[in-house]
Amino acid sequence: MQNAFVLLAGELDRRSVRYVTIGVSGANYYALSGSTVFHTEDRDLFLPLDPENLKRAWQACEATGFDLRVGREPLDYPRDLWLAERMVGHRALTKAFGPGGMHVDLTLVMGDFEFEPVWKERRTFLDAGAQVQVARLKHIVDSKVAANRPKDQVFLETHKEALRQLLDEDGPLS
Amino acid sequence: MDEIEPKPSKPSADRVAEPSTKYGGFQLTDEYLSWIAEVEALPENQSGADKTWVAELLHTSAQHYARAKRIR
Repeated sequence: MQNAFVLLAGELDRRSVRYVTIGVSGANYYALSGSTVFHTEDRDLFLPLDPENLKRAWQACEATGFDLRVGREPLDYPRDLWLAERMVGHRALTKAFGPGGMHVDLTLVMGDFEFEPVWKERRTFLDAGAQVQVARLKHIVDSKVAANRPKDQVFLETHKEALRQLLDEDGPLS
Repeated sequence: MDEIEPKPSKPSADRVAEPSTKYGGFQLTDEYLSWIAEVEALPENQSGADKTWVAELLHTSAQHYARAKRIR
C-alpha cells in the first residue's frame, strides 16, 4: 500500500503544483544509508507566493484524503482563489492531516529564501513511483541554520556528525 | 598558632565546580559545507534517482519501535 505522501505527491504533480520538499524530510532524500536518515512524521513543502498554485495544492490534498487546517481551525470554505490570496498575503501556513497520521505543512516561508532560486536548483526524486520535488540539501541546511531553533541545532549537529563518519573517517565516496 | 595549610584541591571537584561551556549555536564550517557538496554531487542524489528505500526504512523502523514492550 502506498503511503499518503506518495499519493499526495502524485496528485500535486498531476495538478502542476510547484513545491519543494524542505526540512528534515527533504534532507532524508539525500541520505546515503540508515545513519543519515532522520525519523520524522512530517513533510514540509515550500510553495511560492502564488494563490492559484496554493489553491491547486489544497485541491490535491483534498483529493487524497487530507484535512486542511489553519492553526487549530479547519481551513475555511469556500477554498477558492479569494481565500488563497488572503493566505498568501499573510504568508499563512496550511496544515494538512492525512491518512495514517501523515502530517504535511504547506509553507510559504523558508527563512530568507525566495521560492524561485530554490525551485530552479531542486532535485526531482522518485518515491514509490511518484515524482517528489526536493530542495537542494545546501538550501535545506542553510534554512535550518537561519531558523536556529533547538530542534534545528539538534538536526544540524547530528547530520554533521553522520556525514563526518561517512565521508571524513571512511574517506570520500566514489 | 600555625597557619593551616590549604588542602590540595581535588581535580574532579574542580571540574564539577566549573561553569559548563555555553552552547554557542551551530557553526556552519567549511568542512561541513564540503561534505554537503560531496553528498549532493553523488550519482544517487541526482534528479531521477529512486529514493523509495528511504520511506521504507522509516516505515520499518517505526513498526519495530511500535512493537517494543517494556519488560521491567
